[in-house]
Amino acid sequence: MTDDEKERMFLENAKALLQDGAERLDESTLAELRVARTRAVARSVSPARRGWLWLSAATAVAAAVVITFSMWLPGGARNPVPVAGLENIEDVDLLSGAEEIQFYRDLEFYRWLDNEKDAG
Amino acid sequence: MYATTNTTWRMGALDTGQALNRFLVEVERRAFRMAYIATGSREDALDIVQDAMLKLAQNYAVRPSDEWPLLFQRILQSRVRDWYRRSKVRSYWNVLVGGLTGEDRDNPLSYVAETDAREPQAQALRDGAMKRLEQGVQQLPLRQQQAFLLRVWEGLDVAQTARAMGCSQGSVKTHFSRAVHALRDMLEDHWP
Repeated sequence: MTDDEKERMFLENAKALLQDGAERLDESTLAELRVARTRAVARSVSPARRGWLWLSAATAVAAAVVITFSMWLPGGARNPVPVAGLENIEDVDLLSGAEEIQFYRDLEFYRWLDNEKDAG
Repeated sequence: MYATTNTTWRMGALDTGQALNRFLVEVERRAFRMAYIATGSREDALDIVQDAMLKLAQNYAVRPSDEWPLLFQRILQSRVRDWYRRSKVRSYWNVLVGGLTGEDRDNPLSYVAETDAREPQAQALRDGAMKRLEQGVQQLPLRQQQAFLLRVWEGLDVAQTARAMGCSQGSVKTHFSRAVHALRDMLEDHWP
């Protein structure tokens, strides 16, 4: 018998002995394996339900990202980013009133006139 | 090809739960014995198998059923490695504090049912051979144990064993070859 044949026989014998040991486990161990298996199978989720769970989770994550991003952007609801020179909402009314624009254009002229009076 | 690919647990018309149950029925005994050979503890082996079953069911039940054998072995072997690392640390601390040193393994045959009374002499010889084999495998380094059991008992090829063990195919060949030589030296002349 060649060494390869001896090795093959050895491995076949080993496999048979290992299998024999597995098939003759005592009842107590088998019962515990049964409990573990039942618990595991109960935890398995059907593919359809798993798909819905993934979809729900993905939707929730996407919504959270959108909300966070919108709050972070300028004009977000909670913490609007201040624009220089526009600290109060009243400033918007001031600058948008057409009838007042000429007054503000002439303001420099009135300031100069006032200085001239003081000097004179 | 994996030895159990064509067996009855394949999904077919069964739903996932039934198919998973059949698959686990087929592998649970071997999984327990493998974990037991690696740990030497019945309770630890049961914990490892239960953990592997749960992980497969929770994370991979949706995968095609012909992928389960390799996934299950990968989880199982990973859990065995985790146990081995923890036990190394525990044994290190036990040595430091002068306690146990990991020599208190259970009897390898203590969870095998009583011998069949019909052929007591033949069965006793077989029990002796099985005990020597399991003790021999237990004496091997963990990676050699895993390579030997996955190749010989589970029937995985080199590539599948490498995936289950999380190492290269070259490592599998080396571990397997060393394991076979060591076991043949230990056992071959003493087997019936």
